[in-house]
Amino acid sequence: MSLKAWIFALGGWRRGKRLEELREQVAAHLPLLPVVSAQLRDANRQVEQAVAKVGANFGRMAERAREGANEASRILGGVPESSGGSPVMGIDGLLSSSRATLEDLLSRIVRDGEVCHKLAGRMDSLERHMGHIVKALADVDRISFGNTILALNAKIEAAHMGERGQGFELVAQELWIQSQRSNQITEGIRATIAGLAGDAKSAMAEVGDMACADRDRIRTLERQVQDALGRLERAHQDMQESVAEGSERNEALAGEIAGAVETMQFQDRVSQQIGHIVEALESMRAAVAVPLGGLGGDPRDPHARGSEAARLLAGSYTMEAEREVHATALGEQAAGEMALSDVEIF
Amino acid sequence: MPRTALVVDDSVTIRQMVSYTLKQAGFAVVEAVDGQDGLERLEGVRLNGAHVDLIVTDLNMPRLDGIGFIRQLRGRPASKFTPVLMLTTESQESKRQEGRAAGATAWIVKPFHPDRLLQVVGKVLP
Repeated sequence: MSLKAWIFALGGWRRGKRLEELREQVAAHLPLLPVVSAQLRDANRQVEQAVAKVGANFGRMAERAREGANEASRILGGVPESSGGSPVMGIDGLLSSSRATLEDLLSRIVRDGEVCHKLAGRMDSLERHMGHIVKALADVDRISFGNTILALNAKIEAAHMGERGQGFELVAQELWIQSQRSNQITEGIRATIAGLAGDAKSAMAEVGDMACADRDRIRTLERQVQDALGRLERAHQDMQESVAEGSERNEALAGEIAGAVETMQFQDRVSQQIGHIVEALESMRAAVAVPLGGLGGDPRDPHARGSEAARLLAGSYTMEAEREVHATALGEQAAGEMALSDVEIF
Repeated sequence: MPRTALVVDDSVTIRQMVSYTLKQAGFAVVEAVDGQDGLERLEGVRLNGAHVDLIVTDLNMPRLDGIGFIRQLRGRPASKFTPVLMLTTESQESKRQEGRAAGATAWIVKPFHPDRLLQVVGKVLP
């Protein structure tokens, strides 16, 4: 054999050796492609589950945000009958109702105060009338006194006239008796009037005090009620503004959540990409396995399971779930370590 | 004066979630992206005259992983007895034993619920 032929043969032998090494490497790694594909599919499934859960949580958050805003508005403004729910009086309605009730109460108090004031006036008038009666009684007294003097004079004149004056004496006596009776009656009336006047004066003083005091109290009460209603209305207005702002914020939050949910649909794109990668890997494995005469086609092949590449891949795992997927893909029994608690304090 | 926690994780999402949870519970939080960064942050806190009351660390991280990080922590007098929570996706018993031997105080498997994390914090912190 010539040197040239020998060199050529050596080159061929080396190429063949390299090819054989390459074939062995490919045969060792190729069965792991289904394991990698299985890991990808499992990762894809986990991402899909997590995204679906986060999406559902976000959906509930958005729903609660909207419900919160609606509930606050409902409490402040009430539910109209047309909304389908049973009508509920909101703070708006309660404020209006309270204002109407308080104003009605105030007007009644004012009316009662006016009645009291009028009563005081009537009592005053009554006292004046009783004063007139007392004056009239004084006139009656003067007349009665005149009659008494007249009866005395008549008696004296009748005595001077002797028997001729007897008839005159009878008239004088009768005049005297009437005068005395008139005095008794006027005294009785005067005593009654004096009693009435005393009572009227006391009643008038009491009613007058009450009317005055009521007027002051009513004015104070009215100011307090108006002030309280004003404060309530301002507080209600502030609350309405705050709720409106909160409602806007909640709407914005719901919008942002909806945006986040939209963004999470990346998972579908990623899932499709992973699906394409898995398909490509499987296609590549099938295509490469044919020229290798079937070597490396089956990950359950004992040669493949015991290869250094398989050991390296298994050693890279950090989660039990990965090891289980790996074992399943290689047709092995999972290590089956007892499921331990997620938390352990040493 | 709030308590200080060091959160060590290469995942920004987990760092943010743990930090948020601890801040809500009243902690001041220092973050680190791996074990090596965690050691440097601890040293920074110590040089400022303060100390870290709690450490929450991941297991699998670049440069220095959680086990190596804890071993180094336990070698330092300032952090010899600081509670360390291992927060990891790893649930394998042999790994837990490794963490326990290194000096971890508790093992929590991700995903975690914030309330559950705080319950553990409440139990390990005096």
